Amino acid sequence: MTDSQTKSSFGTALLNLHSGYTDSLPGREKHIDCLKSFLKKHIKDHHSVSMYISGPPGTGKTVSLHSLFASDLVTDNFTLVYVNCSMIKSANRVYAKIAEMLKIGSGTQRECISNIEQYLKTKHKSILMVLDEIDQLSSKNQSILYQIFEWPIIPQSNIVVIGIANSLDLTDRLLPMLKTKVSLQPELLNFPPYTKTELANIISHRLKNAGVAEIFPANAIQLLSAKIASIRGDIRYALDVTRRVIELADDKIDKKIELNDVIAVLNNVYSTSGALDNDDENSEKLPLQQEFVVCALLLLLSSGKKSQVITIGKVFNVFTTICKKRNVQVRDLSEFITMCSLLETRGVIKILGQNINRLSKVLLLWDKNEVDDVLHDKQLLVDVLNDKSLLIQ
Amino acid sequence: MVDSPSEYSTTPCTRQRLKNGRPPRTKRTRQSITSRSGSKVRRSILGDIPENKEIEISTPKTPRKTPKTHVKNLTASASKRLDSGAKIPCSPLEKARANLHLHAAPKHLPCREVEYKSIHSFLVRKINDELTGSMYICGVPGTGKTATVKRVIDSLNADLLMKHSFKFVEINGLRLANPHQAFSVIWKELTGETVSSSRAQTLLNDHFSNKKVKELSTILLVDEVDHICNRKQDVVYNILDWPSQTGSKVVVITIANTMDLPERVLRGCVTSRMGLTRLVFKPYTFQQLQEIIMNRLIGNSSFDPDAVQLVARKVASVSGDARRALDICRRAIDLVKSEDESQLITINHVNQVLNAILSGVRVTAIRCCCLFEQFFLRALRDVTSSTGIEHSTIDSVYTQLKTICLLEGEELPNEQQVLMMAYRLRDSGLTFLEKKRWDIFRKVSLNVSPEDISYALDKYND
Repeated sequence: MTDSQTKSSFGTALLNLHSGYTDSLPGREKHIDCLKSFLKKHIKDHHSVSMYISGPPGTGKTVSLHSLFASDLVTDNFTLVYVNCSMIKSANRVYAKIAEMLKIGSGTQRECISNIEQYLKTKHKSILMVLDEIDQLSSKNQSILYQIFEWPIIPQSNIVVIGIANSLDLTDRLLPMLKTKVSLQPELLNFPPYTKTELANIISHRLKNAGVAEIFPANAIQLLSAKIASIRGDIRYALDVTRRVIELADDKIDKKIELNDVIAVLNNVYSTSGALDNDDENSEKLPLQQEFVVCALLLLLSSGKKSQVITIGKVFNVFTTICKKRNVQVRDLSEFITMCSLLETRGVIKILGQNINRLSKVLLLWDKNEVDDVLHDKQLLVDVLNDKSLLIQ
Repeated sequence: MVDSPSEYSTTPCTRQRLKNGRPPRTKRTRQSITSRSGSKVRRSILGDIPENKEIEISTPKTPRKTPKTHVKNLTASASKRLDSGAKIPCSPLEKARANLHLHAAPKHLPCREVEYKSIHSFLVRKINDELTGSMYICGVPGTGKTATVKRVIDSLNADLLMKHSFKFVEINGLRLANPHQAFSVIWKELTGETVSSSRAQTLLNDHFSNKKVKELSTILLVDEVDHICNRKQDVVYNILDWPSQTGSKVVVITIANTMDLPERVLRGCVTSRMGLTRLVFKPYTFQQLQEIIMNRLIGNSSFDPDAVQLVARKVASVSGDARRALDICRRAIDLVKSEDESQLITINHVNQVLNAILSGVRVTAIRCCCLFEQFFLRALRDVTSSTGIEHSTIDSVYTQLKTICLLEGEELPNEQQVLMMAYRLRDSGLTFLEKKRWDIFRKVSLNVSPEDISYALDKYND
């Protein structure tokens, strides 16, 4: 195989692994069948119904519906209204958007609502209304969500409302009043996270479609999907990691994907302290004085009572004592606060409160093992933690 | 008509003067008066001009009060003035200072080669294969995140093959009035049209999901992305959703300081779209900072290498911020400049600057307080250390203040004055006061460490 051919095969692989690229959805046949039968039932008896689809991000909710939109079942029988509620400026504008999709004019919110309801009352083609990321519509008294889910009750409304969101129990939590009427209660459909075999299937299926199945070894796919499925069965992540592995392999000379590459990419992604020392190329991690701050915080945490509140002032006192003992020039409190906020951006600590001052509370976000990894001067840590005299002011 | 240029009215006036032989100054004022009062006279004068052009040239001109060229050539002379005003740095110190300025960043950033390469290969691959993608770049301030991305774009622009195959759009979260404005800014950069943000949002969504149009790849750089994360996070969601549209050719690069922004701040569905391509800019080590400064001082021997090393080590031990290191160097030059032009900058100068930075605002603030405010701070410190509780009441501080006044032999201020002192100290940020309480039992606590107070006041007494 010549160089240009390998390049193009990597290119097609990357194109096929793009998260927007879909031709079939392995592992979601059951859900699509369920949706189809749901719609068919409506076509048969023209009974207005609603449905709520839940599932964590990247489990193929939107894609499954989009694949239905293109099918004859929908295009022949329904007027399609699809609104992504994250793409509108405010929740109230959802009515204007729906009215626009139904081609019944625009206007103020009130006019739009009355227009839509008027339209529902007159004779019309069945409407399939899909609202993506529906949790964005929640307001104080959930009036918008209630109104939309109550449209099926209008006689001859001929409407199928489908809402999509992440949380499993959104309808129970936000819309408890829907339970009062059986006809209003939305049907529920849950998209579970992808399992290991499903993820592996999707990746190998896509690679096979691209005709480049040979570039990615099967055991590497197995490892990758097992890892992703154990953390979160998100197909976007799985595809992203696959693409990353291919890209890295493309940069290599022999252009071969090995298990080690997959492990390297995964380790790079899933570890907090790993972000700091992804390579052992240089041993530098935290700047020295920031290490002092972390040490001071650790000392206070280990010595104090469980319920004790640690403020910046206290950490600063210990910090100055450490600095003096090690003959380091002591910093001003405002300098110290700047250092604390630098540590905060790294996710090591969290400072509570809007404006940071001497009495703001400090929390350590990392556990001891992670801190141990980051502090390269172990001797310092031991010295500080054993030196109880530092605590006496 | 009334405001017509005065040159027309003055030229005929000179002609008249020559005939009558009258002094120019009086004639001119009279003429101007008539031209203002009677429009008929003026009109006839204006009508004369084209016929008498030749005479005009031959007549000697009266010196004008204000040269008219000044008004006419304002823009041209302004640029000339700006050019002449900018001094070309001549002495080695001034050259060094100019080179150390942030704007004078070199073409290739030293110590960021790995990051540069990874961004470059990421973008080149996406553009060549017409793919989409998103990348998250994080790192503490002053580690060259934006600068590196800009260099990559510059090099892509310089590349003849790549030059016409992509568009580059940049927005900065801090420069937007509100997060939604991002859409109209992006749309304006793409097409040049100014539209409202909600219209721009729909236009952009259509633009990036349209499969038919043969469009160029778009590189979208979102700087300070944490500032466009509103509560709903719909703006970030939208921007990161474009790459996942089929057929769009957009590459989104997001930059922020926080390392775990996707996990800690963003919602699950946004993080999922952001992907896992991340790049961390580590803070510079002292060797790297040294290299950066030395790189800018090539061919310039005004800095002692040891002084540079001291700056690098000091900055690296705290933050590893390159901006800060350059700042300290420039301040060191400023220090010398007033003394001697051709001096070598040594460790002493740097130490002076570092001390000036480190001496601390709080200590200075305490030293600048008036005597009784200093007493108040002393009293508060004593009360805090004796009780061991951060909060104490003004009343207890007042009791301690009595003792101090007795000791120092000063007259005791009354309670009202003490309350006023507490307000002033609160306003200067040295203490806190309890909110919504106005009596003598209001709680007060220190915002400076007790050592700072002792340090500031002891030195003062010496």
